[in-house]
Amino acid sequence: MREEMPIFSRLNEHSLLLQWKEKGNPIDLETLLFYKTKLQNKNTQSILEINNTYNSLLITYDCTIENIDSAFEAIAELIKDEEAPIQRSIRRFTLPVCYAAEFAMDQQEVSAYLKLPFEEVISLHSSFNYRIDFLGFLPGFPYLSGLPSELHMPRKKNPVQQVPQGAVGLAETQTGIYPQSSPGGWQIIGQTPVMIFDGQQQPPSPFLPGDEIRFQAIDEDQFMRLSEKVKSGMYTWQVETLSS
Amino acid sequence: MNQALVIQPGLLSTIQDQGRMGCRHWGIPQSGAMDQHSALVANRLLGNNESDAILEISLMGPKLQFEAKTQIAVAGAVFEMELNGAPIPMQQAITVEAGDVFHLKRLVYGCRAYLAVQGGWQTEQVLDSRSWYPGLTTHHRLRKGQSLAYPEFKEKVPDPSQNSVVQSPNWSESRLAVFAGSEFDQLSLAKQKRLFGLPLHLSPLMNRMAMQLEETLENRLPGLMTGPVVPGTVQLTPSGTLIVLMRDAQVTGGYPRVLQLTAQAIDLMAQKKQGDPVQFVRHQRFDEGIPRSL
Repeated sequence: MREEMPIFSRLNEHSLLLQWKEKGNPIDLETLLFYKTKLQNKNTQSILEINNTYNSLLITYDCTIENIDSAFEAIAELIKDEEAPIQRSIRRFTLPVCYAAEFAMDQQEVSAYLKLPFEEVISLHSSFNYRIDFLGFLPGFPYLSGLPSELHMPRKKNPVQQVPQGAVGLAETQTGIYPQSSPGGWQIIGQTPVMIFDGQQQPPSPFLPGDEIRFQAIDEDQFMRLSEKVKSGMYTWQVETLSS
Repeated sequence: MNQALVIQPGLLSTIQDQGRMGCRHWGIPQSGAMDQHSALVANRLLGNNESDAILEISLMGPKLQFEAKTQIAVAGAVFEMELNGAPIPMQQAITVEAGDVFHLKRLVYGCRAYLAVQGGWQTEQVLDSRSWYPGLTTHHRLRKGQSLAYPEFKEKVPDPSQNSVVQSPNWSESRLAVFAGSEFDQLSLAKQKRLFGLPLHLSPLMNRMAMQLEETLENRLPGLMTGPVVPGTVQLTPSGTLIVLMRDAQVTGGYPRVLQLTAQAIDLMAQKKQGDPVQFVRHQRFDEGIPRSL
């Protein structure tokens, strides 16, 4: 295990920011999650939550950090600790998506920009596994990586007022799913009938950083049937556990 | 459970508490009262718990009718307020009887007031918090005709020690204490200096998520990979706009984080309106915000 030390800073009264920012050698998510799990396993009671983004960990305490130097050093010690943490197994969620024209408002723009027939866009989009890096932007919105370069395209110049709940879109090197209807600038290529975020459920989202999503193309009839299942609470997630 | 009927909702009135903690990993904002100190004062005036839900009222107040006896208290921004048409004071416990109409009328000073009811508003709890947030809670702003539940009235022996906490900060204070943001040291010295120079002013673009400043600061910093942000983070956009994130801010952002308001400065910021001046000043622990290797 290579040992890389982050740079440390205070974010506010009760949280620390750890950043791994080596130029030309960005930290990969596996390594970042490895450190995150290490810190979580050794979790002292005063740590409320540890969150990752691409190259940062945010450590939130339940009280004001009085002595910043000793807080930094305590974290550095845990990172240096050689004991490997017990990693949880990664799960792969299969998410049904209807790519039919009525759910893909930007079908024509996407095909024109990518110079691909839309059938080819569907086939590419639904044949890769995407990793969930973290959740943010909107409650339950997964930042996904792994979009093939053939599907990279810029956001819309002007965001639209209303992107529907469940809309699946493309933006730059990413693909994503809108957990609720919202204004948005992503290029919309389809929609899932599955509710990926529900504040009334515990947990409100099944996704954890490191998990994977695979999109499965469905037709309008299947979309309608699954929508009914979701509404009546009868839908069960398609999920497999991957050996790590 | 008793109900208070909303006769007029006011401009933007929301139920809030201390916020939703430990939910960042689902991408859920912290939320909670914009001015936590004033919310605490309102609760303490009634002998409530610190975590009890209050009604946050911005700029223009609501009119409520109480169906049963209780006690209320208002703290925070100064409003002219009335009970059944007669003026009543802020910053103290007021007994209301069944059928009484409470009206928070005209804003005199500040921006946000907090209406506490004895025992706290008993609205829906989502993920251990009653703070309203669009897409998460059933309601996200008070509507005409809506009812807010509150507990049965209990006679309480007044606790004189509670009067010691009703001191409000001086809201004409424009100085906001800050830590360095994690990209502060990437700004040129001249630009760092400009952040602490002349007063800056609040733009009309403000809500519970963020408050923008009128003045801009030319920005040549590279964009960031999306990283963590918290309430009080001051972001610098590519067009040079300074955006102060507030309680409903997203949990991640991609703009350079140049400053970070202290908790006290966030409370003060929450009482500012369009055109008000603010001035950033270094907190004594300012430098602890600058990233360093160990």
